[in-house]
Amino acid sequence: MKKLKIESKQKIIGFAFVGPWLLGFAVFSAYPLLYSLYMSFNKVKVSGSALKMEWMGWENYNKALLRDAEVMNNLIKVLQNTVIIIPIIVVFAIIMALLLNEEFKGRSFIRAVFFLPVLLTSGNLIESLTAQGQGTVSFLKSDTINSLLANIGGSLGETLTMVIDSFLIILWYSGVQMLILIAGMQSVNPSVYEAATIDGAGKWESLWLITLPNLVPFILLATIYTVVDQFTAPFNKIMDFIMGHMNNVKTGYGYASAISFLYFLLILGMIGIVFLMFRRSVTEKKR
Amino acid sequence: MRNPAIGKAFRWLKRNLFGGEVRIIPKLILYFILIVFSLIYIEPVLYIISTSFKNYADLVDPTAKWIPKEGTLVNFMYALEELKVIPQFTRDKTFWETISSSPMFLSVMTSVPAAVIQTVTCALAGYGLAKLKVPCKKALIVLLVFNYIVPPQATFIPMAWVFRNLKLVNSPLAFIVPALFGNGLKSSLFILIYMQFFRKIPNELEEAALIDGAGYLRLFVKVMFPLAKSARTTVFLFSLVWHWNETYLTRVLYPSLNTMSTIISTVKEDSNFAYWAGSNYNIMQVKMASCLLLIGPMLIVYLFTQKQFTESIERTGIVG
Repeated sequence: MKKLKIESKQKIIGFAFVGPWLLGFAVFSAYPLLYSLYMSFNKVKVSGSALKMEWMGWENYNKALLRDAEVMNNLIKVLQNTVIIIPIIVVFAIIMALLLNEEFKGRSFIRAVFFLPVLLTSGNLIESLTAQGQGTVSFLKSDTINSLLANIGGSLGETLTMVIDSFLIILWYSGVQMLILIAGMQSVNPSVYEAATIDGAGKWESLWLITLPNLVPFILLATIYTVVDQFTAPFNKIMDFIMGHMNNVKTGYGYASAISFLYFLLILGMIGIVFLMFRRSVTEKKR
Repeated sequence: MRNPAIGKAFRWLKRNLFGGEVRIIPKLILYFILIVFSLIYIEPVLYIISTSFKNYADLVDPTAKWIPKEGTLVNFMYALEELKVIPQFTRDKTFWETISSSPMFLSVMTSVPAAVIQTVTCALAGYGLAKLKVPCKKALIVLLVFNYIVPPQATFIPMAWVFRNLKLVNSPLAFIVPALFGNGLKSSLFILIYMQFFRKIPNELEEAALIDGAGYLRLFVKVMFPLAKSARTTVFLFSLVWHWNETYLTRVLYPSLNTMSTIISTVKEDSNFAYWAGSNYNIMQVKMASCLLLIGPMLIVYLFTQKQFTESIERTGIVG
């Protein structure tokens, strides 16, 4: 009897710690999300300061998916760009995190330089820089590479040009991922490596047999971070598109909400795919 | 006649070239890659700094690419004007109205209090989720992750409406109040960081403190929060910088005000200055000078916290 009392008391204490967050979540996140979902099924008119709703069912979604070619074009364009960039960012972050995890002189200085962009990436700043041709890395923009890309041509050439043009973006948006991965590497018990060395494993074997398998959950985390980061990045054109529809009297809030929900579903779908890709390796590890 | 010293050196080289304790070639490759990438990372920052000190002659002079020959501070004068760093007092506004609507003041008020509050409130929620008995804990953690995934674009119309009804629009409270309730900018991520940190702390520590008669709040204030130094540094730094650089939410929540990071995109060629300043005004340099003014304070904060920050990664810090 007394034990039960203690347990419920502890639950109250736990709730006291988490409660404020839960309240904030309800007011600032859950309510707007549900309300936005409701609006996407309505035609919303602004009259004065009040919103007037008119139920439309799936009409907004029908229009966005079937009749408004611009919506699909925009979504596909965003998808195209991000699908290519996300794996590049993750792989780059893994390689750099492996290098930064090595022992060498001046490591903390180099690390400070590598995480510098994390602190400076602001949409407007990047826009200002890319406007002055600083979005790319000078030595990648040589004539040989340009003519090489022109020779490849087609969609592959275009994609490569896009990647090179936004190389700095790739570098600048991989800082947090490196942090996650380095922290992951640090969490591996050093004695595992010692044991492997005694058993005669070289650096290369340790990398493939110890470091990378242990890193899988952190790579998953880094990938999810990248997906969210890239899809909500300020240079993403879909934002302006949604904003445009919101201010458009003809289509208004309802239609804009429907588009943003489609966008949200797209992100959820991407994250779902990431989870499916990682599921096998994660469950294997648990076994 | 063979010199034994050369032979010894040769053998040492042979042993250490690819393996051994020194591993010369792999080390060289490592340094090469890291230095090249460091330069790539630093280049834009150097570009911003050097361009903002250039006058027109320096800009077109290829030999002055990195270090301006003549140098000038005039770009900063224009940048200060463009970013409205110095408040402009007019007769129809009171002193407080002028100060509280100046971009500089708003930038500081948006970032510093919210960052401090987030550092504390997210730690509370993170500690609760990591260590305490909370009803439906698993579901709450799922909600937390879900909250992180939802793009702000999907909700911002009703969100703006909620903020308007709570009378939080057009004031720094728009960032402070959500932060108080652990739902500020990227709070989910910060709570997750703290959660992972507290999970690693052995339970014995808490039990000992509780046996000594400390309550949970005391335990948190006296033991747990001070212990979370590495997580705290990371969260504070990220929160400060992300608030400082925030443009998307700021546009929604400050519809009639500007912070330094939103006003920077309005620095344009066709501004009034070009008219009266003539060839003295160069948009490229003024833009870069404004960028430097924007990132300057964060660069300074980073210089001071950088050591703690990079060390915090070492000590499991972030996700462990």
